Order: sequence, then C-alpha cells, then structure tokens
Amino acid sequence: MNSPNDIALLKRELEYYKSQLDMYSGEAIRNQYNLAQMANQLTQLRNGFTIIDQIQQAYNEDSSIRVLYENLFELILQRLHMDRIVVLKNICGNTFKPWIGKGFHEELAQIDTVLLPTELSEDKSTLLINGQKNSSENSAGLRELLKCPFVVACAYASNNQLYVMAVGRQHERKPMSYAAFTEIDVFVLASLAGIINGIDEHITRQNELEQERTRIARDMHDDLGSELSKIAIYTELLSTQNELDEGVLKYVEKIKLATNDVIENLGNIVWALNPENNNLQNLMAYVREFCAEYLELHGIAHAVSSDKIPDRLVRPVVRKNVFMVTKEVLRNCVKHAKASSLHIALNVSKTHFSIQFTDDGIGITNPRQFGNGLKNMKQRVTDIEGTLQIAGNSPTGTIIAIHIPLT
Amino acid sequence: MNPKIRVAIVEDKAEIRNGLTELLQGTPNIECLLTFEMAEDALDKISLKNTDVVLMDIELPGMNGIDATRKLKLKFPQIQIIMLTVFNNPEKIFDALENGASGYLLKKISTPELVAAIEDVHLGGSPMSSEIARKVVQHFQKPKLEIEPDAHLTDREKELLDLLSQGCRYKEIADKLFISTNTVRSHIRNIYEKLHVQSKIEALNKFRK
Repeated sequence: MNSPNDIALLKRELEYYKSQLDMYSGEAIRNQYNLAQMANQLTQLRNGFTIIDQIQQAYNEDSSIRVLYENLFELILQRLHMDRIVVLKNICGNTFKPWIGKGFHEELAQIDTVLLPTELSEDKSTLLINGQKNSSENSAGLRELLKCPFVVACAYASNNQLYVMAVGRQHERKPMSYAAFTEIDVFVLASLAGIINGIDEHITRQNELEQERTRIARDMHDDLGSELSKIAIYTELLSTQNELDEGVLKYVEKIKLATNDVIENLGNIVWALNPENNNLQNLMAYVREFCAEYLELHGIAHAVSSDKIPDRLVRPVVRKNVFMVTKEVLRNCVKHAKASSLHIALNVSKTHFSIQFTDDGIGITNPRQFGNGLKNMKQRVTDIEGTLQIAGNSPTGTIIAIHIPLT
Repeated sequence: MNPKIRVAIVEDKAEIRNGLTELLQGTPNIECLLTFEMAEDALDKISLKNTDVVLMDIELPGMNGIDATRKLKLKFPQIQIIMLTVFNNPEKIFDALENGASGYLLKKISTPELVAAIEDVHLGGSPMSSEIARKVVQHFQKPKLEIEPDAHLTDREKELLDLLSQGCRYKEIADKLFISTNTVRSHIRNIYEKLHVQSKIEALNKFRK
C-alpha cells in the first residue's frame, strides 16, 4: 500500500521527469502528446459503444430514455472538459430553438430562437454554419448565445430534420488542446446528435401513436358505442313482443347476437388500445375473466392454473392478438369440439409467456371446419413473433398452446 | 309478494332511455317510474319516496353522472346507484364507485341480465371486475396515515382483491378461500363501503383545507 506520503513522492518524481523531458526533447513531448491523442480516440470509440448499449436498453424500457439523455450529456461534458451543453433544435428553415441540456441557464431559456446563417452541405450530412463545416472558430453566433469563451457546434441531418448541438465551456480554462478535439469530437458529437435525433423522433412517433390510439378509442366509445347500444335495446324490445312469429324471432335473435358480438369486439379493441392496460398482469387477468364469463355462458366447466404473473410491458398489438386468439380458441371449443370442460394454463418465463388450452372434446375431426379460423389464429400469432401449437388428434380432446416472446 | 323495485333512469339519449324503460316495464318485479334527461332534474325529483335503484349514465350534458352520484348518495345513502356505460371503462367506473355507486351495467345487456343486476344491487350485492379490483388495491396502497382507520382493508379483503385482480371469478375465489360465494359478495360489499368512507373523508379534508 502506498501512503499519501509515497504518492506525493511519486508525484514529485514524475514532475521532475516531465521537466527533464521538456528541457531535452520537444520531439518526445510531441510523441507523448500523439499517444495521448490516440488513447483519447480509443476511449471515445469505447464511449460510443457504451452509448449504443444504453440506447438499446432505453428502447426496451421507455422510462430509461431520460436517464440515457443524462448519461449522454454527462459523457459529452466529461469528454470535452466542459460545463454546459445545449441542444439547438431546428424548428423551421434556419431557425433554431434552444432545447434540453445540462447546465441550461435561465438566460438561455429566454432566447426563443437563434438565427444563424446556416445551410446544408452538398451531401446533406452536415450543417454548415457561416459557410464553414462546424468548426468552433466559426461559431461566433453560438458562442455569443452561450456566452462562453469556447464553443463546439455540430449538426446532423436526416429526413429534412436538422439538429445542432452546441457545447459551451463556461470557465476560462485553457483547452487541453484545441486541435485535439475539434475534429474528432465534432465527429463524435455529430453522431450523438444523430442518435438524439433518432430517439427524439422515436418518442414523438410514440406519443403521436398513443394520442391517436386514445382518440380512436374515445370516438369508438362515444359514437359507435351509443349507436350500437340503441340497436341492442331495440332488438331486445323487438324480441319481447308477443305477436312475433317463429321465423321473424329467429332473425331478431340473430341480430341480437350479432350486435352484442360487435359491441363486445369493440370493447376488446378499446381495452387493447387503452395505454393503462399495457402490462402482462392486465392481459392475463383479462383473458382469464373473459374465459370464465364465456365458458359459464355456454355451460362448460373450466379451471385455470397460473404462474405468478410478473409486471412486464406488453405492446398493444400483442394484447389485441393474444386476446383475439383466445376468443377464437374458445369459440371453436364451444362450436366444434363438443367439450364439457376446458383447462387453461398461464405460464411465464423470463423471455416468454404462454397460454395453453386443453379441452376434453372430440378433437379436431374436420380440419377444414377449422380452416379460416386456424389461418387467422396462426397469422395473429406469427405477427407478434410467437408460435402456435395444436394437437387435435388425440381422442381425449384438443390442446392448443400459444407461446409469445416478451419484448 | 314483495313490492316492486322502483327504478329511475338518468340517460340523455332518448332512444336508450325509452328503450330501457319499456324493457323494465315488461318485467314482473321492477317498475320504472321516473326518467330524466339531465342529472340536475334527477337530483331535484328523486327521493326515498319514489326510488330504490337509479340507473345513471356517466356522460351527461351539464352535471355528469359521477357528480350526480355523489350528490344523490349524500342526500339518500339508502338509494342504490348503478352506472350505465357502453364499454367496460374502468377509470370512470372506479370514479363512480368511489363516489357511491354500487355497480355498473354495460348497455349491451339483455333483459334477464338487466333484471338480475338491478335485483342484485337492490339486495346489496355488487359486481367487481379485475380492472376495478386493481384500482381498488392501488387506492388502498396509499401510506397508512392517509387512510382512515375505518377504511383499512382486512387481510381477507386484501386476499380477495388480489384474486379478483388476477381475473378470478367469485366462484373460484369462494373455492380457493373455502367460503361461500355469498360470503365473497358480502366481503366485496364491505370493500365498496370502505371505499366510500375513504372518499367521503377525503372530500371533507379537501373542503377543510
């Protein structure tokens, strides 16, 4: 173990050698400096990979995107030995708006937009500021904006979206080496800006999707729903009329069933679209409840065995498809299988969840009967990268299992 | 013979209002005496003298069905209120239950279901779906201090809610806990009551602030 004393001694020794080098060889210092620069490049590459890892993680868990931003900025600041970072977001044409950042100052928040003479380079990959490629020397406007002595600015362009990132150094500290980080760091920053752009677009799209989903659900609920209710009530009234003859009554019953089916299907879609139902626990409970209700209605005994269901996110399409498949299985069980009981097993592993339906009916005697329904079921399961297994030849009934990956 | 259950309907869409009235009039044990387009009118006219059970739409012009439920329940705690909704809309239904409603009905229902639901609620039973159960659990998961002593859930009630939120049916729960379905029902009724107590106290606290 080195005592503080030892370290102080070592430091002093080091200082001594440094001064010796200084005195004797300018060449050696240059070499040492080049080596340091190479090491710097390597670290940056490594950091790049770390960031990619983090992004992958963030894409899997929505909540960690904010954490990712923070890490990203922390990294950039560390790398550049700087204190502040601001992202300028292109709002229209060449007008930029200061956006989130670290060390974001009040004075910056007051600047609504920044006007800079900017244009895209010919290959459309870089933003030119004052006709120059992102060199800090030419970013006088940005420097002014950030009110700091040193600025690195860079840009990234994709899909006509431009992002400028500016990093400011607040304190009067001499940069380690000006040249050492303009070229490489601007490149790194450009990639980072691109990544941020990507995440931002992803989030925007997600939000838009979410809003659209909520809107559709609300519209369906308000308009379609109440109209359908009217039909349901009218049909119900019609079927209670005494003077109807058998033939008419048969059709009334059919309309009633169809209307209730449509209302129920809409209800399922509204359920699947509701962002609140985004986890596996909700889905499994919904499946379970539906099975119980449906089977009770048709006089089929049922039993459920279930693993402890973890709190995992499930996408709307998975929710919808799993539910639709469940319905199809149950419908077949009632319509074709002549089953008197159905067992439902809900299992969850770290990577997958599965639902297995086992009935005691006659099995699949006529595969054609199953035709379209089966094709639809397969399609729905394939769409969500799952697998569907059917064992219908057994004399003791049918076993249908779906196995769906958790993303 | 027991007297008929007197039902009032609050629903802004005339077709549904009239249709429901007609359906209920055709049943032996229920009579539908009052119907309202607006919650305000209903609050004016409904009293213990004329109503046992109210069917209340959630979306109404003017005062909504949830506010109307709270006001009506404060005036006449004995009157049972069933929310009418097209789809199973757990957020709004939970709001309504918290404000004193005893159950909810989907508007697609057939006459026998409609009658059964009204009779159930009249006798003091309340339905609870897995989604509602989950919301109830969340509601009671607040820090202990915020929950009134009267509204604390018992271990049995917690167990029951847990099973409900997993999608179990009353029958399954009864079998699992070695009790009758009637006991399950009465537990659920108690849970609803605690929910009301809690929300009343919260409303009062808000008022005091």
